[in-house]
Amino acid sequence: MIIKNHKLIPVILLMFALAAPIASYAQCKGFAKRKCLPELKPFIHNGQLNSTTLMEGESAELVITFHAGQQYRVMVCAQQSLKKIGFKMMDIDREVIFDSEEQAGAKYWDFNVNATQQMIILVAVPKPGKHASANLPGTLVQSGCVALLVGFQD
Amino acid sequence: MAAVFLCYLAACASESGQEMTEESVDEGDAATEEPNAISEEVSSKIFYTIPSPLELTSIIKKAGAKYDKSVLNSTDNISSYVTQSGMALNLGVYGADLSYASIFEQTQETMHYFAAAKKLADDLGITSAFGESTLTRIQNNLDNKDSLVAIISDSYWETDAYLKENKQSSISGLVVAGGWIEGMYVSTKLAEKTENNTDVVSRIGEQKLTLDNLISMLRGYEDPEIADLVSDLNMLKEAFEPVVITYSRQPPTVDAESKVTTLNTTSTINITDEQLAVISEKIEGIRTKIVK
Repeated sequence: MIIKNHKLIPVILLMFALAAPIASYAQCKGFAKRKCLPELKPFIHNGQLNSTTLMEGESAELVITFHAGQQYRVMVCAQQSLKKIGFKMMDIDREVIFDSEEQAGAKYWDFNVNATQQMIILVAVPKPGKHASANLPGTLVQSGCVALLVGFQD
Repeated sequence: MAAVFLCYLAACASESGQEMTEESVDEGDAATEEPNAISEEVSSKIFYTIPSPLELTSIIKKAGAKYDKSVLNSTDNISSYVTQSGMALNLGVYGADLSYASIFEQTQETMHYFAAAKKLADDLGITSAFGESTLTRIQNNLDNKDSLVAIISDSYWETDAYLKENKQSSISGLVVAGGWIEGMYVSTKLAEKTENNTDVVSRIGEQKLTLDNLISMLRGYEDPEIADLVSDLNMLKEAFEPVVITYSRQPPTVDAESKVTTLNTTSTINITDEQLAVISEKIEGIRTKIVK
């Protein structure tokens, strides 16, 4: 399509800019629902959409209470634009209990809890430069939706 | 114009990280970290999450609590909830009552509380969470607790996702808070009615940890209604202060066959009858403000 009236170009750009965040939210929700929630089954998710957009080199932490006598699944799910993503589970003193890197990049972890306790889930996307394609000139820093799902078994 | 465009995109990138409640962002230098290792030094956003009423109900049921519909919020009160914050808080309350009824397989009350939650969700514009198709699924699965719980869990998720997607995260926070407060109210009332209530009381005492997370989560929202609620929750936090949780650290073990890890650390919860009475009173006060 050729735009003959050049005065319209800024208006069109503005319309795209205004629509971008809405599309981003919807995209992240749609991704989490379509790709992530089904993988959590048979665990019952906690009903909260824990998702965010991360760029390479960024990380996010989720603080959560796990309850005695319950079995849980913690799962990290990311869009394909993020080539590599990992997560760690730490106790409140930041002592690492699980590291997905040590489990061949596992996407989820199932565990039983004997004492109700606070835990920290750290999700991180490695910095650019730490995978082969990032060394190519002109490679853009990638970003994408990351969903962190927590499910329990009744 | 280009500047406006770029500024807007920058705001967009920032906003997109707000679906979880963000507390702080730190920058650090991760230049020396191992290749592909997860570093704690890189920029980090901190979020908090709260157990759903379904999980809370499951916990107190395992602790020995029984079903008692007299402790639930009457659906007759629904016409009193006309403000957005009132509707959001009570959507959480009715959601918790719905969870309680469904986990205890009370089909009639499950339908009652589903209808109440649907009415408030519809009034808040969240038609996708408790729509006609969900109603049909519930009706078709009233005798199947597992399916029922999964359907209700999906409705919670839809509610939360809709609100966050539409930049109403503070409303989502009120729904979550309303659900937790009702779950706590029901738990404290059931503790009074349960003969050997040690386990139920311990589960209540452990919510000291979740209360900290809830307050941290709500502080992330700039909303006067939430500020009032946080003030009430801070008073509840004071009531929880004397509750002592002591841990005995044990290394985790992995079941060779199932590959499931067990976190073997154990805990003891010290909570006296007097402390429980103060906590129960504070919770009842907050809950009364919400449901009146």
